[in-house]
Amino acid sequence: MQSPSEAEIISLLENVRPQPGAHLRTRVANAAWARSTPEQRRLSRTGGEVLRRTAFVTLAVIGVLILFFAIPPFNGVARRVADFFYHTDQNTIPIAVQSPSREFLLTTAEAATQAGYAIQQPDWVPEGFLFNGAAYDADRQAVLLDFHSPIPGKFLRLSQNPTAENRLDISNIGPGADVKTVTIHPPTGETVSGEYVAGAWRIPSVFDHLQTGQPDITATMQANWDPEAKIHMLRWETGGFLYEIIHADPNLDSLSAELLVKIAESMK
Amino acid sequence: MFPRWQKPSSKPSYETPQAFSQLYERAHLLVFRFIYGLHNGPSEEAEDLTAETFTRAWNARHNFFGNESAAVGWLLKIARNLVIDTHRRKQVRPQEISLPADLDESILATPGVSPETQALRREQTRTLWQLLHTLSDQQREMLVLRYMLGWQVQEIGRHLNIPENTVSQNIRRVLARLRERWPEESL
Repeated sequence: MQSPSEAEIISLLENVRPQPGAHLRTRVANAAWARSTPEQRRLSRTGGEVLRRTAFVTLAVIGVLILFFAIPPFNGVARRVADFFYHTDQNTIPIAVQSPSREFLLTTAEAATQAGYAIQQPDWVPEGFLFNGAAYDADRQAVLLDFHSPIPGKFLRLSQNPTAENRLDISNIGPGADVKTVTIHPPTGETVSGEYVAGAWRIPSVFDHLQTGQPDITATMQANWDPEAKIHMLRWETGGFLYEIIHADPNLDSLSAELLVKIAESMK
Repeated sequence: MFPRWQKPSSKPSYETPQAFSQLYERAHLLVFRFIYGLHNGPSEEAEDLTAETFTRAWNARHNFFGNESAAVGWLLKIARNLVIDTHRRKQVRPQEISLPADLDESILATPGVSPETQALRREQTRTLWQLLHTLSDQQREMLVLRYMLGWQVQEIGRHLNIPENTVSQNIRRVLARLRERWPEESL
């Protein structure tokens, strides 16, 4: 058999994603730091509880994304302030979180096949990210590209979906959120207007559930708009597609639209 | 920036069980995958080494200064030393490598790919795993950091304290070597 190319070897390595099992949970349940406090003793009683807690921490991070991508119909007053965003009338809105995370198991080629259209991908992303995988959201006909960083709370996610005549895909943002119009120069040579927002919806009740030890990931929760969150988002439309970039980096001193525009302008 | 080994400039962050437990929850998957990639043994041993890494870090927490990025770098250095010590103790030779029993399950599924192609990729991954352990510890570590953990070359250079260009060249060289060593009949 012919040896694989270097790219194939890299792909093989990137596809090895081992998960620790019950053995590690058992070992760690007896660790000094895990049995030093009542809370930790409670959490370390069973591996399942540790897993559920981990799932909730993940949910807390991903939850911000869920709200951007798939916020359920909002019954309160919302005012359309731009092409891609609604302002809600309150800083707190109810949400129903049904899924803790989305799995990015597809290659871009597979996602494109499922979606039935060509996917635009960035040539440039900020340092520290590696392409993790793609997913296809059949409801929105959207392809999502996920870039992984080992730093907690740091993520980069891109989305592309066809714009229907009656667009439903408008994100809710907090009442005081500032929508900034930016100019994007894609490699095609055209000039496109995009909209940029900094901030995110947070789900504090996730942590409340953790404290009470009664996590329920299907519970209806409340989300608060946090204008200080180190998360920002860019949306624009071109060629019959809506594009979206969400980037979070808790270590950044400040967020800038230029960074997201740079990613957008590298997409081809 | 990530990772970086910081000088003692700030107060220790992981003194309390709660803080250390949070570090564990955030970093244990990364540490486990790092060990899984470096270690040439069953995944239960990788889990033991992961637990031991955090135990040693906990015992040495008073000597650690830095933020979470630095803490991850610190954990990986402990993990690497543990793996190397384990290999020295066992004096494992490449031909004695036992593939992790769950290697097949660790391979990311590729929906839409034919069963034949999936089987081929599994077989190639097994071959690659054997070949990885013919490399030096540092060569293997570079590949694991770059492709299993997704670190950038610059970050690897900082972590290993070697120039970025050297990391780049080494990775290219190692990939070429893996191709050269690939058995003609691996199926």
